[in-house]
Amino acid sequence: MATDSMYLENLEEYVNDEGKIVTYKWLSLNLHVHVNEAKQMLYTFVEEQKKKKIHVTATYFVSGMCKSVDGCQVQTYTCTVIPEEELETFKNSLTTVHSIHVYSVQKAGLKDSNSLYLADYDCVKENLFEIHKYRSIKYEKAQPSSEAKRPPIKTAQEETKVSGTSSAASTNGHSSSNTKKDAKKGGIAGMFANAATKKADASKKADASKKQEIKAETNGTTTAGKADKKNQKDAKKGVANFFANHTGKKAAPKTMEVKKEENEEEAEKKKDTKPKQNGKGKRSKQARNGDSDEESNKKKRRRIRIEMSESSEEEMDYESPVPSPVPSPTREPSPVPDTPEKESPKKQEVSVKPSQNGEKHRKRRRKLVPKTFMDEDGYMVTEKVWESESTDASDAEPPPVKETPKPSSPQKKKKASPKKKSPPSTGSKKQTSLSSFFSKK
Amino acid sequence: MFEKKGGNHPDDLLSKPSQTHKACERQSGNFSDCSDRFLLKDKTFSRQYAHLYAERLWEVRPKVEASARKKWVPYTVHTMRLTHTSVYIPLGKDIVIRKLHELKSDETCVVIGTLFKHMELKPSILQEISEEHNLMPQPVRTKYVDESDKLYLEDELQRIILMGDLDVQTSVTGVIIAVYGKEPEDDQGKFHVEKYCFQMLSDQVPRPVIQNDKYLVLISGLEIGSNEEQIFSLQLFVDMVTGMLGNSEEQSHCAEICRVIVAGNSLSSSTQDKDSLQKAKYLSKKTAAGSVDAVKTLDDVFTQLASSVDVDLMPGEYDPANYTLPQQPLHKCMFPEASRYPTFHTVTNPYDFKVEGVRFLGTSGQAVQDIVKYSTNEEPLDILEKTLEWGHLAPTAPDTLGCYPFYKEDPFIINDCPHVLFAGNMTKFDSKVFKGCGGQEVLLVSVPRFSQTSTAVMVNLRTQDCVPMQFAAPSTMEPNR
Repeated sequence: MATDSMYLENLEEYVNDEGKIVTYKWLSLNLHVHVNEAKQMLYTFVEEQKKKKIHVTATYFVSGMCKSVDGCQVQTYTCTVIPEEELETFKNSLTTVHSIHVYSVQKAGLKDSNSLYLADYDCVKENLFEIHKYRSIKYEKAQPSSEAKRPPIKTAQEETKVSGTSSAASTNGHSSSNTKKDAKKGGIAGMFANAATKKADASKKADASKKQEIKAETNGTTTAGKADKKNQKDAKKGVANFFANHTGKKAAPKTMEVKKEENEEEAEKKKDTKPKQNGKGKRSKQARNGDSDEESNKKKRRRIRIEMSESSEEEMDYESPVPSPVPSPTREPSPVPDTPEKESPKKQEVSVKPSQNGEKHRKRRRKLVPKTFMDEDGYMVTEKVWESESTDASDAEPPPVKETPKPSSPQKKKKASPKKKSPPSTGSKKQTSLSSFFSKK
Repeated sequence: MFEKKGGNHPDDLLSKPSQTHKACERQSGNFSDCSDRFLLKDKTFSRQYAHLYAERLWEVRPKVEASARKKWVPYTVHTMRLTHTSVYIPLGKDIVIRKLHELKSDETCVVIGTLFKHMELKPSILQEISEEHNLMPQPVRTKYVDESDKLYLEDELQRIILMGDLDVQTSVTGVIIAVYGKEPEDDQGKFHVEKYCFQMLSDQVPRPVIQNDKYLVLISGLEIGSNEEQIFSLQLFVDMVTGMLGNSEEQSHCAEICRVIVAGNSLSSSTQDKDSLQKAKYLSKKTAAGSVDAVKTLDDVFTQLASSVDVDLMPGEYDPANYTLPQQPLHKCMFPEASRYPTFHTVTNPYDFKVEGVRFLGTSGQAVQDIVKYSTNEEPLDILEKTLEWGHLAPTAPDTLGCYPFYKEDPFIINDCPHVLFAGNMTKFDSKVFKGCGGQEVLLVSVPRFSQTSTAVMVNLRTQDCVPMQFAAPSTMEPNR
């Protein structure tokens, strides 16, 4: 009963001061009362206002049986919402009246039904699954299934609507920050969010580990997605490597451990993919390396910002880093080819083993690996050789050491060349258009 | 229908707030779905439609034969010489049923086959692309009937023109018919019809007696996404059915609604904007389809409804479902919020189901509208009656109505007599009880388009009564009317 005294004042405030259209539904949802009670509250409010001579208009809901509406011969069950002025005339036009109650109260007269509809639209949308509590009719069969059972294919927009899982919130926050900052990488952020949702659904663990995992995965897959956009599939892992490079080097203390994990996996990944990349041909590989190198630099910087901001945004759950033995099925251990990464793979070799033991499969792969050696004539010869590799800790070490000096030189060359190539091309385009304009004269 | 229970106070909510508001339980009816035959199991379109017609003839012929034998007992007329009265003496033998290739001249017999209506104005793709005719594509008309239309009877091997008592204008292609008459000697190639009959409507399973009033609501033509969408009236409808509007007595009355059927066209034709297909991809990359927002609105509406009552959603002509009949259920991923409720179902068009022992059969109106186009029948109830007589839900499929090329079955044949036959998206509400010759009583309901009339239909399962429910904001409050 305590609400009774308060509601009149609240209503007065809503209607007179804020100029809202207060419908019974809005009142019922906001004050958490039964709809019928809300209707009665509105009625008493209207009566009070009339006594105080304050002008408020009300609309009424009337239902009853009416004859020959639209030329219909039978009795029609009519339900309408009408302004106060027409109440009496309408009541008389009905053969029988079933019920009348106040529908809404507002300061000024209503122009159309759209404003009535919009008055409680937002409120209803937010409380879509709670609205049944205040109704008169209960249906026991209508129990919504939990969030978890919903189909995993969701978009980033849908995730914002869902108020449910924290993973959704974290990935959403992550993806939104990503999209904000990486304006160019909208497509990637989308893929990133998608990948994130899939993983979010797949892994249902404690908050901390969940968030971590998702972060780790999304980080990896973002770069993966990015690479896809740019280059062929194999580059995916290559780019992920570069990303992991950066994170291994410059990680903030909080996110250090998270990134260490990523690097563990990406270290393996890179080892595998680097030979693959080389297999595709020197130029393409070098171009890819060169490009991804630039990209990775930019990415590194951006990533730091994001990581830093995110770490500040998110709660300090990251302090309990679970090494997450099974991060994700898509992540395959790969070697790390880059020069800055020389130290990091060695560091992470130790931590690779425990994570490796967690992973159930060791893959034996045959790779087309270019082997460089000195010829009898003193020439350096590079030959492509099929080599079988297993994802073993021992195997992981020697290849990166061997391969890291090799790509460093071609990289430097290739870095320059794409740079050189790109400005003249774009410049030449512009120039040709300009010159053509002038030459016509 | 709305019997006043004791102490009805329509104004009881115009009072001070009280804490006591009882909640009532929603009635749920025993529901069983009989639409399995409308679900496509395999989707092979490499077949010809001839199989469908052959199957139709094959399945319906024995029933038509039985009906013919029952109706037409051959007799001779014997005129008494003295009193000049005519006596009809049954010949004591059965009527002769012949196939077309066995016809003998001047022999009165019965022929069973498929009716084909030859229409001059019927759009024909062959004529359109034919170079010798050099015709402009035909304009879209509302009716394709003409005075010169002819009726043919076709069986497996031959066809013959029908003359006589059979009304050409109200008949349509695809009906299996038995004609009684003869092919005259002097007018070979034509069959003079004296009488005709169709498949007999099968006996109805009697309705069980239901104790309490239970209602089923039919609504169609919501047409969200158009300029004429009645979103406020729709909200009133939802609030009414879910028990938010009205006083407690009215709410307990609405608790007797056990099911809501949405019979098609929940989206409007304007959402089916095909222009984006013509435009270049790079221009329309960012534009979302018109149906996206409409479907989101629908999702909200159905979530509210499904949280309180069982809802069955049928696809219609303008919904994002397949074009050919039978339309398959809309995918639940379109309604992510509403799909969380087990009370929300997407079903086929046509839809066949049983609630509390009452058998319902209905479509979203495409078959009826097609018959309106290709015959002089106008009233939807007349057409529904005819479909019952003909024994086929959509006889014009696949001739003028898109249909899946079935192979060994024709699911549109009406084998079990329904208790209620409804068609959605009609111009206005109407209902009638059709009495069949075998004592069957079928309630025919024409469900109007909600976007035009803001009217839904409430069917009482106990009494087979039908009441239209209209939701309106009157003229002073209507936007731009």
